[in-house]
Amino acid sequence: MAAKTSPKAGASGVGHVTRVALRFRAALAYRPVAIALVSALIEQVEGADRDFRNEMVTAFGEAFNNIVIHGYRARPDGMLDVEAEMTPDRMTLRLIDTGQSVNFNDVEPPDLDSMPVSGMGVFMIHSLVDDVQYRAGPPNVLTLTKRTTSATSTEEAR
Amino acid sequence: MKCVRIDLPNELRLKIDGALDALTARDVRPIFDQVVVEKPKRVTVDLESLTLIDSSGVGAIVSLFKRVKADGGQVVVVHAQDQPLAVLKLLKLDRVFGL
Repeated sequence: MAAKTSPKAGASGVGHVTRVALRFRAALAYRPVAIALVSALIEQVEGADRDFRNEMVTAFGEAFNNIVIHGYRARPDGMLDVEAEMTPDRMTLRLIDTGQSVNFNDVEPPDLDSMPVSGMGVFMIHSLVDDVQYRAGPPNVLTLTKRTTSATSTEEAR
Repeated sequence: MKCVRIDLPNELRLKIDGALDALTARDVRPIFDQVVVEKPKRVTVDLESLTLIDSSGVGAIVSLFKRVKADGGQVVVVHAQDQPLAVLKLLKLDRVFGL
């Protein structure tokens, strides 16, 4: 795992922007450290509350699982790059991999009344962050953006 | 993750600590499978010390719930909080699990 940081002043006047790049071996064994690092990066989002943290960490974890399990299919040499960008009221995570493409755009909700035991990950991601963009590759690029409650309220008031 | 089984007079209690996710769910499956084989009347899954859950972890608990229920038993989930509770609510399992 490797990490690079590059704090910069925001070019558009939205405040301080912090950018961090992480690189993981795409294996479930790295899931705990990936979750811990993303959780730590959320500290850079000044307006993030407990719900923001829980939702972003959960969405990232589901994305990590899908890329490792379905994208790389236990391929031992897979790598996952994570580019994180934090402002006072927003976090964007860009997950970049070279495995098989995963259908992160499938927003068909599962039948929750039937209590499924799988197939909930993509639904959870779309439910927990404000914007999901996926570009099949190679490399595949999944971008998750989440705004704080205060940022969302301000935008809705406009 | 740690899953401790406690046999009480009127129920079988499973206490799960730490993170129940794609990495660790495979570790609880043998414990859950053994519980199902015994056809218990009541199982309580205690999540008080569970810090993180993902869809794989939820799937493991749902699978336990369905299999125990199919044999005439009951599964309730107690003390979920923070991230695990939020995930169970998102998946509309809080009421089913008695939370």
